Amino acid sequence: MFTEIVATKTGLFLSVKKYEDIEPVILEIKERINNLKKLLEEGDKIGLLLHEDFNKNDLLRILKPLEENGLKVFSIQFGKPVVQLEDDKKELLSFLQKEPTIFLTKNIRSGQKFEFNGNVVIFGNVSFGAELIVGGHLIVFGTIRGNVTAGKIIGDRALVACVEFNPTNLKIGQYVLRDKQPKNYPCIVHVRNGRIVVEDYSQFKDDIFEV
Amino acid sequence: MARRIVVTSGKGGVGKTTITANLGVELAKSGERVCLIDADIGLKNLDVLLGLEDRINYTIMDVINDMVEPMDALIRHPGVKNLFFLPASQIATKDMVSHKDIERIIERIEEHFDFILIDCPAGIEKGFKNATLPAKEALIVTNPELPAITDADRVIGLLESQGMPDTNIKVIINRIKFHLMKNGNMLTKKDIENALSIDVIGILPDSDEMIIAANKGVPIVLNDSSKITKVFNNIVRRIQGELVPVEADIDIFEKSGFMGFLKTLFSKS
Repeated sequence: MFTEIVATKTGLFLSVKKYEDIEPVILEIKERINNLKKLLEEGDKIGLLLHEDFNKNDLLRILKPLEENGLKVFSIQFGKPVVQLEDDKKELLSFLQKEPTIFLTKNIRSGQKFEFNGNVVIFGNVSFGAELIVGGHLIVFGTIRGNVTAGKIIGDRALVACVEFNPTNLKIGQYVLRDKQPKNYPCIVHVRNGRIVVEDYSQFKDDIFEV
Repeated sequence: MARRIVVTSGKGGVGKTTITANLGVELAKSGERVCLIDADIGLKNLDVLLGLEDRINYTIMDVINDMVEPMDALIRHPGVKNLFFLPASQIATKDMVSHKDIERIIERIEEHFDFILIDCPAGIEKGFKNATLPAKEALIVTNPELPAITDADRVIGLLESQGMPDTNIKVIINRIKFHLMKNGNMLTKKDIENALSIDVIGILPDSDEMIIAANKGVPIVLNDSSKITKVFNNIVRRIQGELVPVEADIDIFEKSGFMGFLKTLFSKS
């Protein structure tokens, strides 16, 4: 593996490690972009993170598959890879194997029901009148308006995160949400002292992750 | 190949049939060959709105029962030469028809038309499936009210589960009321787009003209001086692929004074 897609604070980066021959690298980049096609749109920005011994004559060849897919390169950086994910990755993998996670790129609409015994990540909205039952944690990159149950299996240590929060009903483990004040900012919902609390994501301290 | 578009909503009384009739006439006026199919079997209205109720010789049931060729059953609109209409039967019920029957009819008439608009009945039962399964695109008519939007969301979900990609689904907001909009008591275009995650293709105001036109049996777009005609013209151009901003629908009413405020509301969103 010569390449890696890395998400950083400034955006998405394609990291290219040290290589002998450029051909397999290009093939790998093409495959990676193909895999990401569902998430990327034409005109999306991507950065390049290149190894310090990178042969600058190969730059155009690496840029070609990115531009063919309509991606715009906003930054090219040289140096040692900033992120060393190897150990973290193993931990993440074992976590994912223990608790399967599903990624959905669609809206859960009114009258639709979705049930999954694991973690769920949704790139879309959960509409008013939709029902969502999740065994583990739930992350919604959109608005929660429907009827949501999280932590059906893992219980009250489950977290719910969303961009906007206005549910009809929300349950975490055995607890039911009482304060249904809509929130139009990113928030994290979890159980603390036997109550479901809704916290502003920007104010959120991650000490509750120590479970 | 004709573009098959179903006009649907889920909730009743939002203006599906009126919009089907007017869109059909406006599309035909712009030179397209259009066929309207009334799939609201047992509660037909489209013929009344088009003013064609006294010209019906054959209905969709006669075509399904092979009593007449589909092209012979179509009624040509006397005023708009490119507009044809296949009426529903008032005596039959929706259970007597299957979506395959309607699909077969469309396949047989398709080559003669650019657009086939299907008027869908309210509800999500058999009649809904009959009308939507043969279609490739959908126009969802909704009012700026929560019940209508919840139903629209449900319908979009059903269409997606029937295999229609959501890029083929567009929303028309009907019956926007200006005095409520003025107070900020009505959902805006942005609210509706956020709730449905579907593009809005047209905004129509609540208008007395529409009611009068419906009672006369003359589609409002036949009156070229009406402002509503201009909105329908914009919608038609958007359907044909032209890039007309949705805000242009509001600009048409801007000169009438109280719409100025509405425009500022929408320009913020």
